[in-house]
Amino acid sequence: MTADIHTLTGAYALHALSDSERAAFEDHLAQCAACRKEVAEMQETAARLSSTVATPPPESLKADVLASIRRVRQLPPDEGPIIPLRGRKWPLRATALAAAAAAIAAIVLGSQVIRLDDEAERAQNQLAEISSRYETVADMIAAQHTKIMAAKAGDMRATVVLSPQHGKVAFLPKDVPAPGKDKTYQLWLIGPDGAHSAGLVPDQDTPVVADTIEGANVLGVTIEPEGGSEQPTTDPVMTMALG
Amino acid sequence: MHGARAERARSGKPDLRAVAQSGHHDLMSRVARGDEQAFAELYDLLAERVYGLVLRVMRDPAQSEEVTQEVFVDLWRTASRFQAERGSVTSWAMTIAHRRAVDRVRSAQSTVDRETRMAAGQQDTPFDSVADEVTNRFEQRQVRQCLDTLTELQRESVGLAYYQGYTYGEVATLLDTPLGTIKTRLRDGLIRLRDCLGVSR
Repeated sequence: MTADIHTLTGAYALHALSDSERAAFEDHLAQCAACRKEVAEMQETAARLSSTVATPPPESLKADVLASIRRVRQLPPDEGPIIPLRGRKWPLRATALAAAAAAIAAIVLGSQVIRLDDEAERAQNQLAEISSRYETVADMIAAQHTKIMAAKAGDMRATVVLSPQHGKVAFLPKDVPAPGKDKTYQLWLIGPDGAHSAGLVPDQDTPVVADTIEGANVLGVTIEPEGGSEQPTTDPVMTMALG
Repeated sequence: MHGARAERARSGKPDLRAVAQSGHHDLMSRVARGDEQAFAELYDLLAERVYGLVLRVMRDPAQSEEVTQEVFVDLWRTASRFQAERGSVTSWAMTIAHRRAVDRVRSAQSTVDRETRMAAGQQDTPFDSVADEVTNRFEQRQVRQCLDTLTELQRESVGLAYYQGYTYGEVATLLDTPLGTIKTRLRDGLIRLRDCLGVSR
């Protein structure tokens, strides 16, 4: 059983071990630096999973929490080891065996991870596309003279990032009601010479980045037929001044 | 956040997550020094995720509120033990939250010993950070897409363990699959997610 104790990193990070297995694994962790690193990365990974279930707690909870911490003393800083050490040590041979088993497991796993089916590959491509937009927005936020504005109109909320240095404007949807069947939200940069399309809003989560246009000082959002329009065909549901 | 921004402006290569994290680390140092205002910001930053995860595991809103409160008290109490080089604030907090929720559903008797709640109406202190906002949005999207890259068995195993709080033995029974297989799927599923999400330290 000890040979495959390394494979418990996943179950451990997900708190899916029984109490006794957890204790045994923590003993092992105390002397396996590679396992500690893997567990830390898996905890980081698991923490990301929580983003999909985020739910606003009742408003009153904040006051409750703030009231209760006033009655709780904080622990002093500690330089000691975080990993609990329990006197018992694994026999050296078992540890070496386990390391060898883990190395083999890693090779087997590695070959599985590389293979991606079509669906997964498509997801990866989409992800790369969003990542690049996201990086652009990161660049813009980091730049000097960037303006960050919150926009709200009816049920729609968005953040608009304007970077004169990049000559770009980003629209980050926050709460965007469904545009309706076969409809889409379209962004417009509006100036004295009319409206210029700044792109479609693909969904709630994807930032839209467009080049700013000389003289255009208003960003507008309209609902258009799927695929977008040459010129706005409806009144804007949201406008915001960029000046 | 100002410090983080200035630092990034110097280093050139921006990473939104790094901006958010550096802000979180500043925040944690203040919390560790007993700054209640900083703690209120930490609450705003994490409350939806902590409560959402606890609720997902426990299902019962009243008990989830209690556990969420316990988690935040824990974060306050142990703030000085947080070590940035060991991982992000979010990972630290969510690990504590998950552990508490899971322990609570597993303990046979979960005593309801509710304290009197204070009236609502305390005003929110908005955690004014676009970096956080954008990171969260992006992260949700990224997580959903990365979950799609898992095999069905990996996805089901990880989901049952994380979102429902089952032990791997329970997951094995539910999925009618050998224990060893589930153990391995939890690990290789998380490894694939880790690589897809670009988590590394």
